[in-house]
Amino acid sequence: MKKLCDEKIDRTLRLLGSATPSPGMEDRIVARIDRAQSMIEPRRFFSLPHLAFGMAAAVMACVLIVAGSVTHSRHILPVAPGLHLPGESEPGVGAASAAHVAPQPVTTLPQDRPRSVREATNGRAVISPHAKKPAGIAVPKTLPSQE
Amino acid sequence: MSSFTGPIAGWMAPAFSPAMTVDSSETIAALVAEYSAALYRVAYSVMRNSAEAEDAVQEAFLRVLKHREKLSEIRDLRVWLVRITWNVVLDKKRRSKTRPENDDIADFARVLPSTDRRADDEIVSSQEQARILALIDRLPVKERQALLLSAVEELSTVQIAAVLGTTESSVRSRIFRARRELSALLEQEGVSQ
Repeated sequence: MKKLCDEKIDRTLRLLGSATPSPGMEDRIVARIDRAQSMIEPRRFFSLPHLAFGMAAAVMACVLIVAGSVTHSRHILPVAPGLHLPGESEPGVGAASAAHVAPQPVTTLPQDRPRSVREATNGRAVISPHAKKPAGIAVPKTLPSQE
Repeated sequence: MSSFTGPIAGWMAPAFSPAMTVDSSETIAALVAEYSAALYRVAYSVMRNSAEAEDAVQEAFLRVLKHREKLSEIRDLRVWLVRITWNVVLDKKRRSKTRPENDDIADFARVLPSTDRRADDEIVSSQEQARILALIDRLPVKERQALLLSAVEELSTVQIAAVLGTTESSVRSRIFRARRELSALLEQEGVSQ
């Protein structure tokens, strides 16, 4: 009986282990792999062309940002009166010790003296009658109380 | 380009060498041609359904495609592929736990070679086969797995041990115990009568 049992077990296992697939299984598997591969490949972003394109775009963006920043800072430089602005060809960045030449020469008065002379009399400022004054301004010679 | 290592190399490898993609496809196609029948038998020994076994083999090769960069490192491709298929089959079986395991005896008989079937049918009828398979499913997991893999002609005991992650002697003892318990169950069930 044991021998018969073993024989039946062997036969069943042999039948189980000798199963053959339906025809065309290999073609179906290869076709499915091809489909899966075609779906997988486009999703890969980190390929050389994409990576090179991305890096080039990043470098270009950095260059544009730096150039734009420099150009912008040169255009909004505050204009200080009496200071010489550098020419257009200059870079816009200079040392603090650089020579600043006034844009126009400062002219001196012809008399080489102030336009009016202030003389203090009894603590009050008196305008000299010889002082040059703009025309049209009347200056009394004597005050009514002094007459 | 070969200086890239780690994940970057994994990302870039397929795109850096388009020829490699072609080669890997051809390699996988060659693997399909050489091992698909054996893998089908491995899957069928558990699934016992032609369509599900073929689906398991397809899924196994999709996993191979996913890990195709490891192909050059594999020493024994047969064991590697059988192990992948075995894991796929066990996953599928676990997912379809509620379904009866051997409800496709007609399919089981259909896919067998006709010459073998005629000879075997003289000794074991389809109903008896179904009962024996049901008894195999009642065996402990380790014994059952060793017994089912031993049924696949292409696998040696050493390869079964590699697939199951154990030693050859352990596989032999598991198969011995499985057959002994199966014989006892058969005697109890009265199959031999």
